[in-house]
Amino acid sequence: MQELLVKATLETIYMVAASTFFAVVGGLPLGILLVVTEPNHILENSVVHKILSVIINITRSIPFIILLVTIIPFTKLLVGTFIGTTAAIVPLSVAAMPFFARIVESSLKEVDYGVIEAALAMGSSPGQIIFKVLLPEARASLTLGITITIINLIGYSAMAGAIGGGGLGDVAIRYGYHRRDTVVLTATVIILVGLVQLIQFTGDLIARKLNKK
Amino acid sequence: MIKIENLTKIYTHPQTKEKIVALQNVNLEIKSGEIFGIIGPSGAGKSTFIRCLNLLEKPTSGSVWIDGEDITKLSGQQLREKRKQIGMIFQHFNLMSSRTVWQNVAYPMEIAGVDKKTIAQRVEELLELVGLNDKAQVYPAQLSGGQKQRVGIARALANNPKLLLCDEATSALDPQTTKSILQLLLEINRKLKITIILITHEMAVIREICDRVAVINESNIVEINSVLSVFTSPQANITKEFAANGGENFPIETVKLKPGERLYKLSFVGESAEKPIISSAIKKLGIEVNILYANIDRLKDIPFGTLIITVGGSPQQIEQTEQFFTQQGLKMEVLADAGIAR
Repeated sequence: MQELLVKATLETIYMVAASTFFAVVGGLPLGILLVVTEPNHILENSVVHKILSVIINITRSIPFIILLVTIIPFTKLLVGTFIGTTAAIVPLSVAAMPFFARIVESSLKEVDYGVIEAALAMGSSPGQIIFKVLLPEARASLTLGITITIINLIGYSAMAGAIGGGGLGDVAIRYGYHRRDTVVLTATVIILVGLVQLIQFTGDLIARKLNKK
Repeated sequence: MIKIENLTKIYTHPQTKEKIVALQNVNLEIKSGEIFGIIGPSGAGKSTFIRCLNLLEKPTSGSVWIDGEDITKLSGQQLREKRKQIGMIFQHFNLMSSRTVWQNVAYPMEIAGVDKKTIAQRVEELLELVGLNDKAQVYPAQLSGGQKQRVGIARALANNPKLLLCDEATSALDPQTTKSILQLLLEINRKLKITIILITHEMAVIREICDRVAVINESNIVEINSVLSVFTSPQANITKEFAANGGENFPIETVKLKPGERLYKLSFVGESAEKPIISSAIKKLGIEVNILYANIDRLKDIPFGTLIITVGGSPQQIEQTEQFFTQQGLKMEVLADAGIAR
C-alpha cells in the first residue's frame, strides 16, 4: 500500500507541477495583455481586450470534467494518448491557463496606476512598464495567485485521475470507491490535505517576504 | 523656454458622450530657470494642465513647445526620449513599493541605459542632495510622507532634467514638511538652474517659492503676474480670494469712527515693510493712529505686510498723512471715512 501511495503522490505532484508550469507560461501573458489593453491603460485596445475576455470566459465556463472529455482529440494529437499522467497534463493546463490569466489580471490591477504614470512620465516604454513596474509591484499578489492555482490543480488532478490519469485521485477512486478500501481512501485524503497545507504555507511565506508595502 | 499655445483639453464621457471642457485656449510662456506657480480651486483644470506638459494627458488641440520642440507632434519613441529630460513629482509620490529607495532613484537611469557605475555614483549624489543617504536600502513603506517626496525629487532629478513638474507635490504633507520640501525645491532651482512648474491650491506654496504665478479658474487662465503683483494688486476676483491675507476679512462695519477719522488699509512691500513709517507719521504730523490689524508675510525673500489703521486729525493733517504714506511707497486704500471733524 505504501508503494502505491508514494507512486500516486509522485504522479499527482508531476501532473500538478507540469500543468502549473504551462498555466503560468500561458496565463501570465494573457493576464498581462488583458490588463494593458484595458481602456486608459498603456496599450489600450478594446478589440483585443474584448476578444481575449470572451475566450477566457468561454473556457472558464466549461466544467472541468466536461472539458477533460471534449478535448480528448486535442490531447491525443499532442501526447499520442489520452490515458495516463502525461496525457492528464493537457486538460489540466488548458483549464488552469484562463483561470490563472484572470488571477494575473486582478493582481496587476491592484498596482496603483499612479506608479505606472510616474514610470510613463520618466519615459518608460510599455515593455519596461510591464517587466520593471507591473510585474515586480504585483509579485506578492502573483505568488498568492500561483498558490491558489496550484491548489485548484490538485483538486482538478483528482478528477483527471477518474478517467485514468493516475495520481492520488485515481487511487482514491479505484481503491476507496470501487473496492471500498477505507484505509487507502483515508490515506489519500490525508496526503492531499497535507499537500494543500504545505503549498499554502509556502506560498504565504514567500508572498510575505516579497511584500514590501 | 516653454510656450503653450491655445491649449485645449476636452474630455468626452465614454458612455454619455457628454463633453467636459478642462482647458480652453490656454496660452502661457514660462522662462528658463524660473519657478512658475499655477494656482486654482479644485476642478479648475490645473492638474490637467500640468499633465499636458509631458503628455500624460493628450491635449485635444494646441501646442506645447519645450526648448523649441512641439511635443504634441512627437512620435512615441521621441516622446519617451523627451520625457527623460522632464522630471515630475506627484501628490501621492508614486514610488515603487517593491524597490528600495536606492532602486527607486536608479530606475529612470536604468531605463535610459546609463551604465551601472554611473548609476551608483549618481544615486549617491542625489540621495545626498535630498538628505536621505542613510535610507538608501529602506523600502518606501518605511518612510514618512516628507521622506517619500524627497525620494520622488531625487528620482525626478536623476537624468539631469531641465524642467521639473510638480503636481500638487506638497498637498499630502503637513505644513512643516511642506515648508522643508519647498525649501528643497528652491535650493534645487538655485543650485541646478532647473525650471520648476508647480500647481497647487495653496497660496502659501506660491508665496514661499514662486517667481511668477498664473491663476486658473474654470478652464482658463484669468491672471498671470509676478507673485508680488498678485499679492499687492490682485486683479481677478478669484485671485483676490487667494491673495487674502486676513486683512480682507476684517470686520470694517464694527469700527466706529469718530468725526475726523479715516480707516485705511495699507500694504507695504520690501524695504518699506521694515521702516518705522507709522511712528514717523505720528511724530512728524501729530496725528492719532490706532492700529486695528497688522500682518507681515514673506513672498519668497521679500517681506510683505498689511495694516489696517484709523488716522485722526484735521483735514490738512489727513491730507499730509496720505501724501506721506504714498511717498514712502505704501499702497493705500481708504476703507471708511467719518467726515470732517467739527
